[in-house]
Amino acid sequence: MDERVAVVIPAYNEEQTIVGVIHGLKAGGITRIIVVDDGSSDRTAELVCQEGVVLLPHLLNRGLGGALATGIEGALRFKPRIIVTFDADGQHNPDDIPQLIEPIEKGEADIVIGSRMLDPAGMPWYRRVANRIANVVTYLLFGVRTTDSQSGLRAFSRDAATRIRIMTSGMAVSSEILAEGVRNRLRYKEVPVKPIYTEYSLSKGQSLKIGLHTLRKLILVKVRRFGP
Amino acid sequence: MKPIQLLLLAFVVFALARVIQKYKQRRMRALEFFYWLLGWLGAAFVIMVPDATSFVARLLGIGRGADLIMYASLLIAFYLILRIHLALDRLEQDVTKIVRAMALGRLTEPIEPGSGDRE
Repeated sequence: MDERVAVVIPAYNEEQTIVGVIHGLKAGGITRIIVVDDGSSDRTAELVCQEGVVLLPHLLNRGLGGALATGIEGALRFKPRIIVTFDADGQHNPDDIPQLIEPIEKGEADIVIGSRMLDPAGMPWYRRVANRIANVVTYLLFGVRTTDSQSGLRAFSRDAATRIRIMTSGMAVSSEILAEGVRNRLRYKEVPVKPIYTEYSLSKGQSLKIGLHTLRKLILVKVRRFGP
Repeated sequence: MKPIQLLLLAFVVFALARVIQKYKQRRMRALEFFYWLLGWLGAAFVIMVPDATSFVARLLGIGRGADLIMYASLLIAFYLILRIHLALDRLEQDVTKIVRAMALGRLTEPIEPGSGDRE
């Protein structure tokens, strides 16, 4: 994998896993890594500094959307062919990246999502239910059919990355990105991935409260961008 | 004049005085001053002539003037809350823009000349 794949890792208080994630990516041949430290209060930034990757530090926590937008903008300055977003909690497997970016390299898609639901074995039931609900909401609001609207493993062609505008700052960004894909008429594909579930990564997902909060934000996105 | 009317009027006069003071100190814009002035004078009018509200209420098909005031107040309150909501949202986005600009000003690798700024 040459330097034209840039991996963006949004990180908030991930001191336990971030170094392992970076090493895993490097072992997988990734040379362009951009970590966004979203105002972590732990040693995330400090640890990242020692790894020789690009660190974009947020003075204040802006949420996943804010971190991703910063990371993507930072990544674009290196003019990569493909930008991949990757979670900092160890849930994603770097070995999934080659098949994730394949449709883009072949020119078949502009946005690719790694879907955990195409092979959901190992996913806790409550996550599956929550995911299904999120998928339905994403479909109702934006007309996007997806099996895993909340997946953090995504790949964009450089062109797609420049066109999507991320305005939400919380976890609504996952659905917002799909909505942006629709708005820009980008080609969308899914590949199956197998997440690595540890007690740690499970504790770092969305809760019902966040889910409802996210729903409210998504409705705002829909109204602002597409009209009621 | 009922005691409650006097009490409420006193409050309105106080509020009006604050508004005028703020405007004179140039801490309030003309349009804002106008709205507040209108609002408080309207409140004073309704306090002094409560039957006015009953009149309008009957026009609209509601029983009492007081009910009309309640409905109108609620609507206005909801509207203002919505405006605050949107303003807060805007503010959050602005903060994110600043935080992002700060972060991107510190890329640890040199930016290629001629790559330009995104915005």
